[in-house]
Amino acid sequence: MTHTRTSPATSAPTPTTPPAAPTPAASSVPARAVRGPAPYLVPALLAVGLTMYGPLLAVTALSLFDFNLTTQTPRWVGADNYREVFASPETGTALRNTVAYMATILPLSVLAPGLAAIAVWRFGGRLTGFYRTVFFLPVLIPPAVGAVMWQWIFNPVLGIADAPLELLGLGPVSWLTQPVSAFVAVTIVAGWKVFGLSFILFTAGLTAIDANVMAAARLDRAGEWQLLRHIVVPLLRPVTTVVVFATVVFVGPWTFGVIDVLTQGGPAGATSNVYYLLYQLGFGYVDGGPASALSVLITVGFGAVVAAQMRLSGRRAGR
Amino acid sequence: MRRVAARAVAHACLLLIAGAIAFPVLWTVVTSFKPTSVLYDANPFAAAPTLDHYQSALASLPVGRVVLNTALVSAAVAVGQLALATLAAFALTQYRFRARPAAFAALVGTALVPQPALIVPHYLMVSRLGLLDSYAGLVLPQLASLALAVFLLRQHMAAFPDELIEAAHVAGASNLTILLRIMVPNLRPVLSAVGIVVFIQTWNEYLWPLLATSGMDRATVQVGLRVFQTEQGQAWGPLMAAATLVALPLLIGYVFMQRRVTDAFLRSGID
Repeated sequence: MTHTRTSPATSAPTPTTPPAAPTPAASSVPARAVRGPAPYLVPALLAVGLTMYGPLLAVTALSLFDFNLTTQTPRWVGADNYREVFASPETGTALRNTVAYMATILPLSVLAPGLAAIAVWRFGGRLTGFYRTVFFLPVLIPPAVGAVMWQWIFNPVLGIADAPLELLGLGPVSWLTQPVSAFVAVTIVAGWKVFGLSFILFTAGLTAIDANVMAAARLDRAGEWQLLRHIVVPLLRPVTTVVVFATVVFVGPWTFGVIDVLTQGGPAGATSNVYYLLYQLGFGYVDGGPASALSVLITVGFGAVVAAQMRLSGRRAGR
Repeated sequence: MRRVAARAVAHACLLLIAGAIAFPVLWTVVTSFKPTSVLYDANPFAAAPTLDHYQSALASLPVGRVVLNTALVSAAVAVGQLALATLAAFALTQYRFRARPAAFAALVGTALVPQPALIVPHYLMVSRLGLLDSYAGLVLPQLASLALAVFLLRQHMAAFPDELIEAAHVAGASNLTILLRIMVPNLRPVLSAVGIVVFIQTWNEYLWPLLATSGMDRATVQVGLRVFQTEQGQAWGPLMAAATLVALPLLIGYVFMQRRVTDAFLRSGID
């Protein structure tokens, strides 16, 4: 490893010279920098190596063995675990649900908070602080705790969620035991949880919009609607990418807690997602091999989605 | 005139959303004070409030313990990530070396690995080390999601005025001194923003604490509430009291630090 401090003044020794732009121009090694970057870099690299990349390699290797996470000595089985995972109908259901969760939560995590953020930004007035506080609350209530609160609302027969339905003359709905309504219930709670996070991110994007641009457009007699369509929405595009990214990253883990409390993946896998299936394989059936294989598949899929998203947003930014 | 109408419609919608978001929390609190006899009554004032449910919740859920556990673990993860990322960002911005792009990619690339997908190797590792049911076992696997911290800190350190660093060098300060005495104090806003975001993220983490702990001793608030729920069955009154108690501390903290918390998320979004 060769190293030199990148500081402009080492290459421009006279203090009166204005400092050059901090371009990585080669410079002489000052005596005090001899020790190099290693001591600063090694702790972080060690941490990610030991708790991220190491385990990633380990799980890839383990996916070729049969083991039970405790006593059994691992037995080589080759690609059998993958075959088992692919053959299992549970995998298909969990994968479809994961995609379906993503698709149904996106309106609640991108569209709705985006519109709400614009509305608060334009019309919030004295209530701006109030809206921000309330919208943000669920971000601070951990998923399993929030799910327990909602469970009481969805409680069949006695829960309050049936009150409006009863007014319409509809009977009590057994929310969490019917496949579709259980899926909807999980989506509602997960959406409730991510809404505030997206709202704050959009608010950040909006405050970054130059007031001059808006004023200039208004001088040109642009209507409120035109402003929104031609200025605000295009300027929000980078933030939207961040929000979609945040949704992809957070929806999986946050939905996990909601599923675990409300449905445990049921009825008949209707509300399971890939993380919940992984948890059941590894720690319910203690079937380490297929669990590891599923881990590898999840990582590859997740990495592909994130990479594709980065590419897509990169191309858009390049335009 | 149209603007007034638009404003009214906007506020109506926003208030509706605010109501829908706050309702589960309010309803939980209301239920927690209702005597069992009127628990299923939709009228919140059906009977005089009672503290019975809180008494029975506190009898079997060590609220202080689980809140303390969660706070300690979240703080340790936040401080640990900040320390690792600050040092790494310093190396990445103040030194030139051949492996720099690779090192940066390795650190930021952690964003590509979904943490929950590593539960099997994490469990094996932590159990082999004898760290199940310990703070260290809870904290360690969560330290490596350094992407956000490294990314933001590197950006801010790269923008740090070189004149200041040079002046310190001329005065004979070592690199470590420069980092700790000059950069860190000036980067306090971004450090606290990243710290708050990571703290809240860890507070929300459910899967790993569920696997790494058993019983209440090292349980986090979510795990504790789940254990309580499994033991108590469908006792909705005590359950709502317990949910209120475990959700409250962070919400109180938020009320006092509201601006800083939302600013932290605002900052991590735009930068």
